[in-house]
Amino acid sequence: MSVLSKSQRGPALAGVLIALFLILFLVVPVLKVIYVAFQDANTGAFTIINFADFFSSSLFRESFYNSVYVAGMSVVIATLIALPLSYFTTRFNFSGAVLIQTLGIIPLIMPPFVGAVAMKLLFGSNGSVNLILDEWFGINIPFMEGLNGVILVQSIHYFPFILINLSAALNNIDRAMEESAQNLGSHGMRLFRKVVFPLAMPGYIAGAALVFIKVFDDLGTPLLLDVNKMLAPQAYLRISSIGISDPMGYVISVILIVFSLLSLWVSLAAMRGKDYATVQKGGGGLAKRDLRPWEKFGCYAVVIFILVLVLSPHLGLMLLSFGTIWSYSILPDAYTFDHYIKVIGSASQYITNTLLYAGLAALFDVILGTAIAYIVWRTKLVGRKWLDYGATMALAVPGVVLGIGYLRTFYQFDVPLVNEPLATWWVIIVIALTIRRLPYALRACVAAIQQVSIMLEESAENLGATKRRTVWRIVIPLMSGGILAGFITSFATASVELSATIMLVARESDAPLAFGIYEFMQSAAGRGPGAALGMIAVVIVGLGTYFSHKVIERTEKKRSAARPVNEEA
Amino acid sequence: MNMHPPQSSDVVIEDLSLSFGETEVLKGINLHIRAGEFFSFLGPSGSGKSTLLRAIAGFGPTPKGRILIGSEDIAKLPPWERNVGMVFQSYALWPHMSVAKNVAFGLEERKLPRAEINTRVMEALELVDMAEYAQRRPSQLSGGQQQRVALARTIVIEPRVLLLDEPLSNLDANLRVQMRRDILALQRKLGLTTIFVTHDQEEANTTSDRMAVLNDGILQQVGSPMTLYDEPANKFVAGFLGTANIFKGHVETTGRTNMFVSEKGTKIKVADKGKNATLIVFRPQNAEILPPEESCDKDRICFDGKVSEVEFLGNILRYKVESGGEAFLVDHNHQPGEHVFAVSDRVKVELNPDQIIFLDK
Repeated sequence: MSVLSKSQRGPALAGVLIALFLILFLVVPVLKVIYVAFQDANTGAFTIINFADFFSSSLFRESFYNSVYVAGMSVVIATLIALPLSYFTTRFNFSGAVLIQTLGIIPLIMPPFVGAVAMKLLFGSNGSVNLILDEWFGINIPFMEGLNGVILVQSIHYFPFILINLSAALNNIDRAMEESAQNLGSHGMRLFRKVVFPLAMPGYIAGAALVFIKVFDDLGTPLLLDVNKMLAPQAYLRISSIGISDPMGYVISVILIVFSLLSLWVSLAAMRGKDYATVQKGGGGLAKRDLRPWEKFGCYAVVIFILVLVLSPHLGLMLLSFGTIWSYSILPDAYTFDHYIKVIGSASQYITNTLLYAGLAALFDVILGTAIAYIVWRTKLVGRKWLDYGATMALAVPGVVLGIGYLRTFYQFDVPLVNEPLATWWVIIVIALTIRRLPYALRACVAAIQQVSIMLEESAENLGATKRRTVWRIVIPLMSGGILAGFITSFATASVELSATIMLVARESDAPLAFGIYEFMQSAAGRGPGAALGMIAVVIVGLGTYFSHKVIERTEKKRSAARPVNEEA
Repeated sequence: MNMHPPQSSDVVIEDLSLSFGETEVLKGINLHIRAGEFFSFLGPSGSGKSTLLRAIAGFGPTPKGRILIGSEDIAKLPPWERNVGMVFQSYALWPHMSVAKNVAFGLEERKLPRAEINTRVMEALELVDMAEYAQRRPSQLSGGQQQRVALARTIVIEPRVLLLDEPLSNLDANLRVQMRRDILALQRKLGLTTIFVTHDQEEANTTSDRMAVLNDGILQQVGSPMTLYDEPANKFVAGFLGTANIFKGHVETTGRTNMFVSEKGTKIKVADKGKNATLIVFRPQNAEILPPEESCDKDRICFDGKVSEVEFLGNILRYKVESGGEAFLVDHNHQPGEHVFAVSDRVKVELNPDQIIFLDK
């Protein structure tokens, strides 16, 4: 075996360090969780008795069914919202297409749990909508009762995943696919059912699987809506109330992981070999037609209805944050800035903590992401693909599981100089956020490096630059747009992450925004300040999303201007 | 004009115009395609040939004018009620269905009994030599095989007319020649009225009974490939089919002599039939290049000139000769060992006046 060449030593060292980091903070904690789930709590011997216990308890069985039901129904409702929207944009020359694109982003800038309480005030049995319905029609619809509430909040939040995937799939169908079916005698719904929909199916399934697992794993929304009989809340409650030695938390974690892997597999299998993107050069999407006036009216009605629905958590949160008292009334009694003043005065540590944690996590993410992308795409190191797989694996690990894993693994590990267990030190929150957001940052970095033509590097080397100098002077500057976009996305989403952090926050002074919102929302009096904190979170995420779009847009413009000639064709 | 009474699958296009928004892409097309004919639409890209084909299939904006198959006007029918089979440039095989399913699709839409569908699918696949691939997916087939399946999928519905939209453009050169022969053989066997869109004149020449040359949305000329080549109706057709030397000018008649005077001042004596010519055209192979000392035959047209370019094309040597301000091409059949003129050599060029084409537009 030859010794690594000089130019490979740097990347090799970085690769080993990254691998160690991933093993220590992703692989080991997850394996620990799985191991404990199969361990007898008293003797430590291998057993499946914990699983038997789990399924023999009616509470856990119900929680299991509830989680499956809520995730499944959320997919159904999200599909009902996404289907007409994607149909409008791909089939018609619809002037509201911009509106629909906006619709695809708005929900994602607010984590579902933040709006959950506001949704209760709008749609609950004593909420605004039901008060109006009762007054006008004498009816009361249980939008937010029990599981319904979770389903409504989640599907409003996650439908963009289906919208984006389904629209992309529909847009990728070559017009000739449809025309040849018409030519052979098919039209209307039959044509849609036999040709168009099957061609769009892989994209739809990929989106639906994503929604299913996001809802299945989510902890914050059910907790805030006081729905405890679901898997993730049960895991959290067992660990936080009974302690980290209770096996049920681990059993639930294993079930969550299995379902995560299953849906990831489904979405990958749906796309594999069936990437039906059939557009030929110059082909371009399905035939679009102009809308007749009454059809245009109908489309706008549907879009605006969905827009109002999608904006309702934001609207509700805003009312809540400015309202004095809001109970048994359609709108708050009066408006005030008091909640914001209170929050900024007494709860500012939540904001500074969040900026610190999310900032550090996003920074680590893009450093790791850039390094992994470079090692995978630009070196020939043995096993380099495993870095990519390893980092991406974090997608399949629910936040609750990672939190439990860290608690269990690092509780007995005292950090030198700090004299406290790693599991309760604030840095562990940063690490958890780094691991959780790494797959997204990595994808941004990989996309960026793939767009850097290898010829640009070769010409630098040809002119005498070493590998290291080439990376610094050519690769990283050219990747900077993608890296920045990755940073902002990681930062924005990390700043509202709840499911892992809620388990790892050891003391109030270490808590980030999401935790603060959760704490405030527990009491009726805290709702106003909680909503004000929520609004601050929305602004942070919203600005982040806006800037990352801007950055991507700008780099794409720059790139298309500077692209080498032979890549134009 | 209409010498043939319309048959059941004659395609008659009457005064057809079509616009994309403000842009007029087809301007008053009149055409009569006879039943059983292999007919080509030939033209450069943007000429409107594909638009015309798609209009017959019912795709694109609704045209003005009539499209008759037999005596039925189909111009206002939706595509699925026309029963004209179209093979798409990209083949458009549905990737989620097997080959057999693809071919069965049109028959299923026609609600035929399953047993009949199965028989006809297999017959169609055998016709294109693809029966053994019935259970494959389109993605497992080569380009040529996909092309055959696309053909089978279309002919299995027994369309009144077969439309082929540049079907060979995605195949490599060797396969293209083979495929066009196969398509022609199949068309002859089925006696199917076929319209073939192409920008490749060799494809059109070798397959078509007749063809229509389009440019800029206007039908330029209709006729057999040889008629169009030998007797082009205008400058565009003359220049588009093969290589042509074209001189612009006018005829000056003094007594019984007609003298064509080109814009550059070259004078050519022309026969009476060329009296109204504003353009004279001759093909490079109709002229002969000779050494300058050669004497000129009296009933031939002669130019003294100088070679300015030589291109060796394998079977021929193509000379560009400059003479009196004009420049034109002369082909010489290449024989090994024969003398080759070099650039700036003085030469004499001879032309048989009978082979001059006179045009007035």
